[in-house]
Amino acid sequence: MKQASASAQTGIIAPTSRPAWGGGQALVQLGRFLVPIAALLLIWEVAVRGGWIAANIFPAPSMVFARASELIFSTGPDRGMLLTHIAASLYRAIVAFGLSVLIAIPLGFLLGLLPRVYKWLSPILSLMLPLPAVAWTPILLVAFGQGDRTIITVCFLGAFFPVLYSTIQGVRSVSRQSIWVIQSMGGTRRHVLLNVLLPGSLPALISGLKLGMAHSWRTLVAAEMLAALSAGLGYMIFAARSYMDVSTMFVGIALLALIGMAIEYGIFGVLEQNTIRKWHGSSRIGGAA
Amino acid sequence: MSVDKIVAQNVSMRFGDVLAIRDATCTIREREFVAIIGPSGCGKSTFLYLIAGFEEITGGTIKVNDKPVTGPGPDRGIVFQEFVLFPWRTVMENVTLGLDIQKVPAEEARRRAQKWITLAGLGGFEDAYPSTLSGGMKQRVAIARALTYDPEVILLDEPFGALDVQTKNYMIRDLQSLWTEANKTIVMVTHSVSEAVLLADRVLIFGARPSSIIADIHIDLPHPRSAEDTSVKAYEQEVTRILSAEVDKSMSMERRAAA
Amino acid sequence: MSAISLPKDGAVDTFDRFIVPLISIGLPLVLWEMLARSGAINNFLFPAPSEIFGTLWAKTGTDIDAGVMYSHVYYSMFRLLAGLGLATVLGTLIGILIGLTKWGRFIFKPLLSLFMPVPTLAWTPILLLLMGVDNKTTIFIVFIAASFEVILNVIAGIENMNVKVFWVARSMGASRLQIFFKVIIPGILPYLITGVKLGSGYAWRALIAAEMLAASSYGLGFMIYEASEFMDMTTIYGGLITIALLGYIIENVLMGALEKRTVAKWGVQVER
Repeated sequence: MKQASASAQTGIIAPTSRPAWGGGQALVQLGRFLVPIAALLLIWEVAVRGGWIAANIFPAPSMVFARASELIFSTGPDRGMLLTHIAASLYRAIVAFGLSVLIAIPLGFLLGLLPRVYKWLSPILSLMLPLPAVAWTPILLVAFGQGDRTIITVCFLGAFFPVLYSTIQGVRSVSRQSIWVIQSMGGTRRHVLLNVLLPGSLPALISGLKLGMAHSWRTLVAAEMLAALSAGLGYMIFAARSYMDVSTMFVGIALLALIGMAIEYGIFGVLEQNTIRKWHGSSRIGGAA
Repeated sequence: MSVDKIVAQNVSMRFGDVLAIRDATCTIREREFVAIIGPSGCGKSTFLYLIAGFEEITGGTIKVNDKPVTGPGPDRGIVFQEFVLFPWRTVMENVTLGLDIQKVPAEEARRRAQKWITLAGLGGFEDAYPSTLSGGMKQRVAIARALTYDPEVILLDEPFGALDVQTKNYMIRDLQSLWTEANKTIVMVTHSVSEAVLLADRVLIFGARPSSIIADIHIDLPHPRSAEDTSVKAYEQEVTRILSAEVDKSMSMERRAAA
Repeated sequence: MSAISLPKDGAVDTFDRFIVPLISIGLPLVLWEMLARSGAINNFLFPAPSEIFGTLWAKTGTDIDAGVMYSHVYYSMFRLLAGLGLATVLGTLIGILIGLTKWGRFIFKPLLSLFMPVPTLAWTPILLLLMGVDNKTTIFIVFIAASFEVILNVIAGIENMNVKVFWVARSMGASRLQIFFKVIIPGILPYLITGVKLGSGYAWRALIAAEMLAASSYGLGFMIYEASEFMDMTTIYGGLITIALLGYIIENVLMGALEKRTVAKWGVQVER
C-alpha cells in the first residue's frame, strides 16, 4: 500500500516510491533489436573480406573497431584522441541543451499562460522553427571565430525553438476544466501550477526535450565540421578526409549514432516510461483523463 | 427550517454579442437535489458554471450562503461530464486531492477518501491509474473525489453524458444512495428526463436561448425510485411535454438562423 | 465548456491573420533599423535591415552580382526537390517492401535500424571522397535526410491499412500491379504526404549545412558561408532571412497545400 505524502511547504502532493518496470522484459526487447543488426554486421564483414565491397569505401566492422582502439590506446600522437573528441562533442551538446532548457521551459510556461502575449510572438516563432540552426554559423564565425562558443551557440539555437514551442503547446493543452477542478477545491495558483500545469504539460514537454536534444546533437555534427578547432567527433570525421582515412570516419559515424541513441533511449526513454507510459498506457500525449 | 442555499436573482449571461441566459431566478434550499434540464445550447451548463464561479456573471446576482459568488471555491464541488481525472494520480490520490489541498493530514485524508471509494464501488482500485479504468469507473472516481472533501454544494454537469446506457442505469442507482449518505445540496444539469425525475426533488426547466426558467416542478416521491413506477412515468410525461415545446422552439430558431 | 459557440467575426479574423504577423515581425525590424542607424548597437555585426534588403535587392538586379540571388535560390531549391523526389520514390518503395513483404522486412529493417540514428551530415566527408564537391553530394545528403521519415510513415500507412481492402480488390480479380497502383498507393498516400512533409524539414536543414560544406558555387548555404569568409554581413543576414522564409514556405505553405488537396479532402487523419 502506498502513502500519499503532502508537502505543506511546497504545495506539491506527491506519491512516494514506485516499483520500476521489469528488467527481464527489457532485455528480451533489446535482444530482438540487436540480433538482426549483428547479422547485418557479420554479412558486411564477410562481404568486405571477400572483396565484394571495396574496403576503401566501406571498411569492415573489424577494421573500424581496430581503428577505434588505436585511437584510444596506441602510442604516438593519436593516443587517447578518441576520448578527447567524444568528450568535446558531449560537452558542447550538453551545455547547449542544458542552456536551452533552462531558458526555454520557463519562457514556454510564461507564454503558454499568457495567450495574449503569445499571440504577438507566435509569427516570429513560426518563422524561427523551420530555420536550420546551422544557418547561424556564418554570423557567429564572424563574431566569435571558430571554437566552442560558436558551436555551443549554434546547438543552443537548434534546441531552443523546438523545446520552447513544445512547452507552450503543452501548457496550452491543459484543459480549463482540470484547472477548475483544483480551484473548486480551494486550490491557490501555486496548487494549480504544481498539480495541473506541470504534470499536465509534462508529456509534451518531454517530447519537446527529446526533439530538442536530437536537433542539438544533429546540428552539432555540422557545426563541428565548420567551426571546431581541434576536437570533436564532427571535426574528427571531417579532418580524416584529408587522409582518405575512411576507418576513422566510420568510427566517428558509429559513435555519433551510438551516443545519440544512448541519450534518446537511455535518458528520455526512461523519462517517458515513468511518466507518459505509466499515466497513459501508451505513448499518446493528452491532457487530463 | 430549511436554509436558502443558492439564490439566483435575475441572472443574465452575455458572451460578446450572444445572450445566453435572459433571466433566471430561483432559490435552491439546503439538501435539495435539483435537476436542471433544457434544450441543447440553452445555457443550462452556463448557469451551473455561474454557480460554480467558473464564469463571471454579466447581469443579476447569484448568492451562495448569502454571499455573492466571486469565483470557484471549496464550498462548491464539481463533477464534469468528461470526468477530468488527473492521469498522473492513482484513484486514491485523485480522491484525496481536495483534502490534500486543504492540508488535511495524510492519514485522515486516506481514511475519509477510503469511505467514499468503497461507497462508490471502487474498492480494490485505490492504486489504479485512471487510464486503466472504464468510463463508468472514472465517473465514480470523479464523484467520490467531489464528495470526499465535503463541499456544501455539489454541482454535476451532465455526469452520465459520456456513459453507455447500462452503465448509466447503475450509476443513477448508485448516485441515489450516495446522495442519501452524503446529505448535501446537489444541482445536476442533464438532458435526460428520466435521470432528472429519478434523482431530483425539483426539476427546473430552462427555455430556449436566450433562456429563463420556465418551469419548476416538485417531485414528491420517496427514494429509491424505479423507472417502472407509474408516478415516475407521470412526472416524466409532464416534464417531456414542457421540454419538447421548448426544443421545437429552439430547433425552428436554428433553422431560421441557417436559412 | 460553454454550450454556446460564438460566430467568428470577419474583422477579427483578418486582424489576426494579417495585421498581427505584420506588426509582430515589422515592429522589431523597425526597432532594429532605428537602433542600427543611431549607432546604439554595433552596426557591423547587426547591419540595418534597410542595408540588408538593399544588398538583397542588388543581388537580384542587373548590377555586378547580376541576378546571383536567383541562382542561389534556384540551386538550393533544385537540390532540395531532387533529393526529396528521390527520397519519395525510393522511400515509398522501401517502405512498401518492409511493410508488405517478409524478405523486405528481413533485409531493410536492420539496415534502417543501423543507419537511421546516424546524424545525416556525418556522411558528408565520405560522400565528398566518393562523389566530390557539388550537386551530386548535396542532393544525396538531402535524400538521406528525408528518406527515413518517408520510409517510417509509409510503413505506418501500410500497417494502418485495412486488410479487407485487399480482399475486396482480390475478389474483383485485380492483378498485383493493379493492386499496387489502385489500392496500396492511394491507401498510404496520406501517410506518405505526412512523411514527405516531415522529411522536407530535415531535408532543408541538411541541405543548408551540406551547401556550406560541400558546395563550390551557388546555393543559399554556400552563399552565406562564402560571405562569412569576406565578413560580408549584409549578405549573410539577407541569406539567413531568405533561408528562414523559404523554410517556412516549404514546410507550411507547400506541404499544407498538398495536404489540403489530398488528405484533408478525403477526411483522413494521420496521427504520428
